[in-house]
Amino acid sequence: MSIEIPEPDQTIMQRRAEILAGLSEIVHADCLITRQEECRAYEADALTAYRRIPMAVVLPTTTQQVSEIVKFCQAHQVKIVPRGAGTSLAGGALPVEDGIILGVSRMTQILDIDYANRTAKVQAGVTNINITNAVAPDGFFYAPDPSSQLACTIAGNIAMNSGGAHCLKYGVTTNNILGLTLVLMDGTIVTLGGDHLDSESYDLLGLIIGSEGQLGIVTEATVRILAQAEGARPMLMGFQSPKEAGACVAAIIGSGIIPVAIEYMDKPAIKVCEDFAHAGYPLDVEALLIIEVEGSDQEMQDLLERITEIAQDYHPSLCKISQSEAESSRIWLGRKSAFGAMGRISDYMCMDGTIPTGTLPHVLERIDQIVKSHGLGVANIFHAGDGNLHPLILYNINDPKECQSAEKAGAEILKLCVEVGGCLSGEHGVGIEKRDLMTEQFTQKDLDQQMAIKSALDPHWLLNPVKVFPLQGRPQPQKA
Amino acid sequence: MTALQTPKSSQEAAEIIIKALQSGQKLALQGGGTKEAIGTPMTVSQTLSSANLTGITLYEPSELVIAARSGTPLSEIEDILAQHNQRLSFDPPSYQSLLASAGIPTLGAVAACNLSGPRRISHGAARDSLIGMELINGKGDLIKNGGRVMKNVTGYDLTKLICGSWGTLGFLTQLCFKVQPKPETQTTLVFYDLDDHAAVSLMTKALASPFEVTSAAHISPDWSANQKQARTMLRIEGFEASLNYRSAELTAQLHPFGKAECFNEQKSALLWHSVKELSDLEAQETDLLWKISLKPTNAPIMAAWLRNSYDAKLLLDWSGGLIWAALAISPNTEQDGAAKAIRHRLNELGGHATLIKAPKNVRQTGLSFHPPAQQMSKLIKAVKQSFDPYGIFNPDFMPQKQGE
Ligand SMILES: Cc1cc2nc3c(=O)[nH]c(=O)nc-3n(C[C@H](O)[C@H](O)[C@@H](O)COP(=O)(O)OP(=O)(O)OC[C@H]3O[C@@H](n4cnc5c(N)ncnc54)[C@H](O)[C@@H]3O)c2cc1C
Ligand SMILES: Cc1cc2nc3c(=O)[nH]c(=O)nc-3n(C[C@H](O)[C@H](O)[C@H](O)COP(=O)(O)OP(=O)(O)OC[C@H]3O[C@@H](n4cnc5c(N)ncnc54)[C@H](O)[C@@H]3O)c2cc1C
Repeated sequence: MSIEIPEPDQTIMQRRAEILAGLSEIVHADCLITRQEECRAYEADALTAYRRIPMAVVLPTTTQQVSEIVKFCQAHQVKIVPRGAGTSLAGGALPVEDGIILGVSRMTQILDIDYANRTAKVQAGVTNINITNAVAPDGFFYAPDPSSQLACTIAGNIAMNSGGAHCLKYGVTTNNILGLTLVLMDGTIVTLGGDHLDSESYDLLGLIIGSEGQLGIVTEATVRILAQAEGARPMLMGFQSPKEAGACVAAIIGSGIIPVAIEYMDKPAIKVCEDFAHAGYPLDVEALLIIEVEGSDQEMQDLLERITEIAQDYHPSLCKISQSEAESSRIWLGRKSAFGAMGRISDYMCMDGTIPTGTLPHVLERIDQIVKSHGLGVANIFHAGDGNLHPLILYNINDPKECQSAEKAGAEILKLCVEVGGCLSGEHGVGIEKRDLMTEQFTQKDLDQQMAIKSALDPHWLLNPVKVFPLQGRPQPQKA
Repeated sequence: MTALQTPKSSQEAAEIIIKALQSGQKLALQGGGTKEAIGTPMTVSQTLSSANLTGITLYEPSELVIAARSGTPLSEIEDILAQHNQRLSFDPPSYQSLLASAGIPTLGAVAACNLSGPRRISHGAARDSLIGMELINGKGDLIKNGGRVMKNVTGYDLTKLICGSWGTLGFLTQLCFKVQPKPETQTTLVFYDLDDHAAVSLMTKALASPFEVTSAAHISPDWSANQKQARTMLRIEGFEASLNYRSAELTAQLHPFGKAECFNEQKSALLWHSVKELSDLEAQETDLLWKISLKPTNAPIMAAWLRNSYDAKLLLDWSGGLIWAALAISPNTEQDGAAKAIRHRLNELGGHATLIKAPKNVRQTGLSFHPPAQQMSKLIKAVKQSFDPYGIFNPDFMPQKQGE
């Protein structure tokens, strides 16, 4: 495939034995993986078209160990790719051959739960769902809910500023984190924020969240937890045209109702998800909305009635309110397993642009044309309330020509998103996948400003260096 | 006298910055200038103002976004939003009466100061609503970050950094905020005669309920002459039927704290306006005003200490997460406004304190902003350096490390 990955630095590769020996002095043998066959388990994330076997995988258990590893790597000019669960769809956790994977998968403790102040302090390797699991018995939850939440870690969520179906109401990761413990490239351990609101100085928390593992290693986080709603109820709404579905979304939001979630699926996506989850999705519609509201029974009833009334102007062919807990969970299972279900029938590339919601019908039409012009198929599944699209471009990963076509179609779709006033990535991050498209959205000066921060915190560009910024136009890394 | 520069375009502003760079001059950055009374007084020969950078550049009610140039008065934004039954959810205050200022608060300063009101606890701060910006950095380069869509993780998020940077990183020229539909109506439950401890306990319980309390504050009787009893207030917003249900549930669950009085929409709105603007404080008589951010359950401890140590009037907002403390000038405050003592106490409790209003001699001590911990200075310097490598914006206004 066509994204350039620089050749490994041979002077580092030759010092492999010495580097591994140094690392083995910092962590216990069972926290250090060096055999190539075992390192292969870490060769890719969920962007499986790109693979590199790292020199070693280090799985520390404490912040102190992370600090020592980082210090050692900086002293020996060894590159570091931080890793959570490796579910990045952008290649964010793709290893480099002349560097190590620093994984937080052994740092999974919940350190403290404070219900009065509604916070939980956790180690960075805890999975997203396990935070909610820990507080759910007491009626609380952690709001951002990426579909990968069973596997992905809070560290990965922080690095990518991940979202989820329910962020229309509750915000994304950056709106739900109060504090972090961060290890800087020189090994300094800093605490940002805490259990109070707002920062006494620059909002460094806001900078680190979404910085794709390029500015420091996150080892702990204080997250906001929220009281669960009394109840939640989704409804299904089917339309004969994407245009009407899109207009209906705008009308609901314009009316002053912000549902907890408004998810969109097109016909190909509905079919695949229905086959997988038997969620009761209609197979005879062109577009399906899953709209969820929260509150008491009466409140949910009222809201869904209002929404149904607004929708009438857009001629829905189906309006079906979930009648039971079981039905609701099937409806969400279908949506949350969409990517996995699609993966069973075809290889796909998952796009993640965001567009102004008013341009939705136009953009959907253009996506269809673009993908067809490359001889491929597409399924659309996305967060309609905030315009965050996930076209899945279907292709055969073993056919080099189709791979190229898929990448080309993907790039055209993302350019389209920028062209209509949106952006390249709404929640998955840039990683390597969108790295070379950054100049579509940003001027060199815009990128220079971002890279100036990178250089100030990681002068040698050792931390996840291949990602985010196009290889051309980078500042010279400081010499060791 | 400082020369006032009022560029009409980003281009002109960039030229002014480049000229200042070339001649080795520093620049004070200003919106409406209402906040001149905060922070360390600066000695600069030039002020760069957004006064002529005005006007709304984009408003799409159905997409819930608004963008405007940085000098646009906040009131203009609020007016047009209100016409479409929308609002800035973070509730930015203007503090005009408190600061007795003649200037017009601007949208740029709302971002630069990360201004947010009582709804902060449910809807986030200005930093959570700012989705895009354009600014000119200290090299004279026009930079954009974010955009006009709500979900955007393309590149580093610099918008959060700008919020609360008080004009020390760059000159903002344009901002884009997400907005929110105005709920149909609001109601406030008021509980009387609780002490700080009981009040915080009530407020944290209410926020841990599913009833979506959007603001929670506690005013003690000493806060203003208008008030004889302590009042603890919970605001809920939404459709009328839903509010009836939720206020009944809250009243029942919080029954141990006493009987609640229910304020209707109009009374509720007035009440929260006065909390947001601190308008019950007599501006003339308020010499020292502290804004203290800490975890809610520590608020009663901090409040007790403040009352014991000083002649203090206190308002607890953000369910206790924010203490407004108006202190009288006295032998133990006249030197540094009590900065050292307050921050010493906060070292134990966690949190930070900003001196919002103080006589000039106190502000000259450079203690208005909370000095960041030593370990943070490297990060803070890196950020400042990357935006403003020659240190030309608002010099010395915010401390970058302890003891500075
Ligand atoms: C003494 C005082 C203390 C205050 N403290 C707080 C507080 O702690 N929290 C809070 O939420 N509100 C605070 N406010 C309120 C707030 O300052 C005003 O409400 C705000 O709207 C001021 O608008 P302005 O345009 O007059 O800002 P100004 O007073 O002109 O500027 C305020 C700050 O923003 C910066 N700034 C303004 N425009 C730009 C721009 N275009 N680019 C870059 N930087 C810019 C300035 O450099 C300055 O640091 C305070 C106000 C006063 C008077
Ligand atoms: C089926 C599926 C569904 C998905 N659904 C969603 C969704 O709904 N919403 C969404 O936003 N995303 C979604 N994703 C993408 C992905 O799950 C998220 O990006 C997630 O946050 C990645 O977490 P992770 O633990 O797997 O991180 P990884 O993939 O291991 O790493 C992601 C990034 O984080 C960095 N990183 C990891 N740990 C650290 C650390 N300790 N310190 C600093 N940087 C670190 C890595 O270097 C990398 O850049 C989905 C992915 C899949 C496969």
